[in-house]
Amino acid sequence: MLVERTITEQMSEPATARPDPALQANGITVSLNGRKLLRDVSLSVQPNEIMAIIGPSGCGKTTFLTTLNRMIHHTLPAATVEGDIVLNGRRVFPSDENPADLRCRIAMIFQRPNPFPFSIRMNMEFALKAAGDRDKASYPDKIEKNLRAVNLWDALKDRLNDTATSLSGGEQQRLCIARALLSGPDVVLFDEPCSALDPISSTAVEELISELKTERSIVIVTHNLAQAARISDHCAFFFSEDGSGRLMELGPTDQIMNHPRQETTRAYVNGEVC
Amino acid sequence: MGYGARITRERMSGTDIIVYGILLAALALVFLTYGKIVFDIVMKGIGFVDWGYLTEDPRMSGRAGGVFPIIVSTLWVLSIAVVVAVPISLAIAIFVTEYLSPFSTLSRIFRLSMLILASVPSIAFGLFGATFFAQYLGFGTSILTGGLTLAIMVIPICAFAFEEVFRLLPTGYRNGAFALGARKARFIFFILIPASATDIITVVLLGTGRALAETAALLFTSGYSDRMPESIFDPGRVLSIHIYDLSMGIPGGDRMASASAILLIGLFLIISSVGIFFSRKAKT
Repeated sequence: MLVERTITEQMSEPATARPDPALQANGITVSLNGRKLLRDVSLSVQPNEIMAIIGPSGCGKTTFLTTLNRMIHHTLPAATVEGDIVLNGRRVFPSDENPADLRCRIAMIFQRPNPFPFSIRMNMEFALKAAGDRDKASYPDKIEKNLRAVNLWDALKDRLNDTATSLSGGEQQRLCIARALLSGPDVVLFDEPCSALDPISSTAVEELISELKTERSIVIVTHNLAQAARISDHCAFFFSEDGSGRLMELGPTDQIMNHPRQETTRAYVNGEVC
Repeated sequence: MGYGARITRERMSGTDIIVYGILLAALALVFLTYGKIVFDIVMKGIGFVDWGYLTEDPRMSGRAGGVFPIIVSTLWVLSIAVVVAVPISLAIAIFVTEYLSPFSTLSRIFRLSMLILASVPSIAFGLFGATFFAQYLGFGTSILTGGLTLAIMVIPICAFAFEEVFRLLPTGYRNGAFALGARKARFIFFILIPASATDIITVVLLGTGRALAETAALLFTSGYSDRMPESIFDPGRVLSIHIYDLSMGIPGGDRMASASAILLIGLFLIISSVGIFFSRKAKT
């Protein structure tokens, strides 16, 4: 369900009031040892939408991304998070739910491909088992379906017992995406998924991300503005003020790229601040 | 030089040559020293090492006969030490790396105490073993007491090394596992341990070598008896004690000591090869 909105609607509506968001973050503030890494960020992601998070280095983009699936407990164990996060109408943070369960519904892909140093099959099976899937008889079908979804099946179907680290960087990243899709997540978070890849692999992953949104929502942190312009529906521009990251501007990608309302956004998209 | 010229190694000059020379000299010094030790032992003892030596009982306090009961005792003591020490030190290391922050007080205390324990002279562990396992727990002077004493001795070394191994696990594996919804136990048993298998085996070999060479800690724990042990509650003489006894206590035992030393080196080479074989296998 992609809802058409005009720029004026975007301007008149607060970000959190858009209809039926898949994922909604309200007033997220992250502090580490008394320092605020991120201050009061609110944004929502619609179903079947790609939301790109852009901004200079060190403005809290990745920190924000890791709060969404609570990976921040592992990446920055000492950080405290305020605010709340709602997934498909249910509050998932703060919540008594085990964060591990949440991560099956909000998957995450990292900057560097991180397949485990085992066979391709074991990589996939680990994800199924981690997601609590006990129906072992269905594993082969699920593995095939998800490797097909990332266009790797034809290349890998006879090599499932090869070690995953023997694949090329681009293949590894697509394998990681397939692995993350096994739990059937509603949202997939990408943290600069192409920055460690060569241009051809990068294009393949980018096209894949665009295909993935037909069934789920996507939040992607990227330094590549051209990439954000190509694939995203909305853009969130983060900027660091007094050492704390803030959401400066949020809007349809075209607006952020071509007619930003804020001066800092304009400077950033024109390459004047980096 | 035009196209097709071979790329030759950069020529060294001045300080480079001096540094190269010093490093090469250090390497040669170590190599020659160890070479000389092994050469002497082999020349002295190889004539005595034959099938009978491996399979017979010692006679005349080891001046004649073989070392079969001693090999058996050695393998028993070593097995007990490894079987007890490896799981405990793995558990300690996993607890410290996975459940404590590296900067927490407890984890600092752990590292300091492991360091101190690793450098305690082995004779102190021997005294502890003799009082605690032999007397207090009533195991007496036995293979079990010797094995447990060695386990206590190598636990700090292994735990310290395992901790290092686990800390060096690429963060990508850790993040990858947790981002897939894995619980901690699944991460530990299906990622952390298998992905570190090669290094775990290396550490086990390090501990085994340390235990195999140990003499002082076993003097008053597993004992001197060169008879064939019937159970782990019997005393048994290990190879290193045999070597010590032959060379220090038995006149004319010198050459037999060298023969046993060859066995000790051989035993370690076999154990290492098996370990390396498995660590290669663990990689695939």
